[in-house]
Amino acid sequence: MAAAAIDLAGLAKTFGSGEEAVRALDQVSLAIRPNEFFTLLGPSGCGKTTLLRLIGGFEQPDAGEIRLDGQPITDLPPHRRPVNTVFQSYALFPHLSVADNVGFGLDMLGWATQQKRRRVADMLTLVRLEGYGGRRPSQLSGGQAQRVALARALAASPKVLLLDEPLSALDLKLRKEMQSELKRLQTETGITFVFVTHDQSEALSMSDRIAVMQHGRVLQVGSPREIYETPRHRFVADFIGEINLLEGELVQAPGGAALQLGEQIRLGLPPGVTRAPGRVTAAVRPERAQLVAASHGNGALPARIDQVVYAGTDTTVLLSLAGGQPFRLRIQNRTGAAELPAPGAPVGIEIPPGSLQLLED
Amino acid sequence: MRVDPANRLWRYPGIRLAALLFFAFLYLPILVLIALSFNANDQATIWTGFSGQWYGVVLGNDDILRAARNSLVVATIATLVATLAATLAALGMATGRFAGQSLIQGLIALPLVVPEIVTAVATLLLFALIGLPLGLTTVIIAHTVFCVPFAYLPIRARLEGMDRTLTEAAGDLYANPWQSFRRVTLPLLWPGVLSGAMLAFIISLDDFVITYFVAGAGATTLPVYIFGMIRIGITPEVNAISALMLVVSIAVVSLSYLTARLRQDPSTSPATLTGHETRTGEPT
Repeated sequence: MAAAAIDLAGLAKTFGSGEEAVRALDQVSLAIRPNEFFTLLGPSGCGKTTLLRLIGGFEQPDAGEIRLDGQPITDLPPHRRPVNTVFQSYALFPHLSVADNVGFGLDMLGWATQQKRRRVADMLTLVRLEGYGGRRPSQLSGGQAQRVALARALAASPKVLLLDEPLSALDLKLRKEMQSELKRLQTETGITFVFVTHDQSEALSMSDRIAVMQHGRVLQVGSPREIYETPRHRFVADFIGEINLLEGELVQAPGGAALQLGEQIRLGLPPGVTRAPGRVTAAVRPERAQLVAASHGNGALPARIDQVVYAGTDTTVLLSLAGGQPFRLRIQNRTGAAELPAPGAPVGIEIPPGSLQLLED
Repeated sequence: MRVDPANRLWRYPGIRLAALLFFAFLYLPILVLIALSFNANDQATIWTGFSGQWYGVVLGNDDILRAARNSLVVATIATLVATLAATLAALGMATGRFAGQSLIQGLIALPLVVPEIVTAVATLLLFALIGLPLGLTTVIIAHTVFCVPFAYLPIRARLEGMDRTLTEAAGDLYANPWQSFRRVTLPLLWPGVLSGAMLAFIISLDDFVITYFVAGAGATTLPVYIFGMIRIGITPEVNAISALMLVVSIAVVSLSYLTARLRQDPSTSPATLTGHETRTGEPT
């Protein structure tokens, strides 16, 4: 197996002391692969930015080790690490031109003037800012400043590029543009990107793998598809997209493991469930459940329609289950689709066995 | 002068008169002094005709020239040393939190509110106790000390307004701490250092009370010399020296203002002459 680009082993970091101590990171271990677009995803305060700052060298961990290509870098100051950062505020040097900003790292590394000039021009071309070299940062729009920050961080071909919520200051349209731009840059340069965000749709659309964080811990690591379709934790399921949670009893039935809801309803679970029988929480995405007639039989959950919300590409149906808890269901709007029952009508919800996911709390 | 009618200040009756009186009180005496410095009469307060003769007298007076040279030497050395100390102090205070930091912050600024006469007596007492003979050296030491808080305040203010991630970015881009300071912190701090130095220079040039106490024989500065002349009476010569000091002060201020502007002004870079945002098709 090839060495990981970045190996994080047992990282811990606490800010402050005594009663005001905040545990920002709690035993975080991760292996980030070479040439990977890796995303740290979580709500604010989950420790994702602290983790990024530890890799960059701006903070020192209380415990644990950081290895880059197998070499320990935990004790190196930022300027000795072959890692560059795109800061949330961009942090462009206001007293230097765009070209001098992009060339700053090359200058510090002692590049010859000619070589440096060519590299700076190449980088500005890469981020589509040819001819902007003479400008000052104050003369740039938000999107342009963002791309200068990218060019500056990529100029010295770092082994790893760290991006700290770099798109959060941009408006929606520009953010979409920069998302594909970032993905393109990552593919073209082949550099490992570690990207921090709290925006789950951004994470899903850009990443090769995502680590979902909460309270200074990594809850789950996986591809966007794994994270979305097979969340293991209640928090992961809840944080990414919309999901319905069902509380029930795990039972072993002749056809494999199943979820028993009340007396009547028994829903099949995907094969390979090894958990001991008992109280469990299972989750299902709104678009995986199907609306069926109320008379469908005991494979379906009886429910009542509360509200139908038409949203162009799809329609969201808000329902109440027999026990009163809400359930959300989404239907693609296709040509010739049948008319939905009116609110108040009794219906059934069918959940295919493969789409039910058991969660840990 | 154009007046914005929306400004609610203009609704107060008598606001123009009050403003006029205020500025007259501030500047009329100075204008009168400058005018009288060109008076042909040797009675300072009786105008008889225009003449530049008193400037000739001033520039021909060896005692005045010696005092002026003393003033410049003291102000220059005190400014350099005080600004350096103030810059280091401000950088140290900005590096991080430490125990007693706000106490030290207060102690640095405290001399600004201590009555100058107290400082003067205390400084004289100190020199007497350690047996340092009074002379130009004692004046320079005293000036350096009281210039520090004046130099410190603008530098500290400038540092406080600086984005801390800029030094992190420099470190991230392979600059060691010294390179980061030289290439990023210092250029951005420079306008603050300049205004701190300027303030220190003017304050030193202008000081009378402390200088009067700690200057020994041969260490007379211009303000002390002028005070000596005034005891005999206000002469056109005094007016001329004062006018010259005013010119020097204004020159120092304008010079540092201009250099600060030239370093900052983005319109001096050639890029403003090229095309604007259109190329990328982004909203501006």
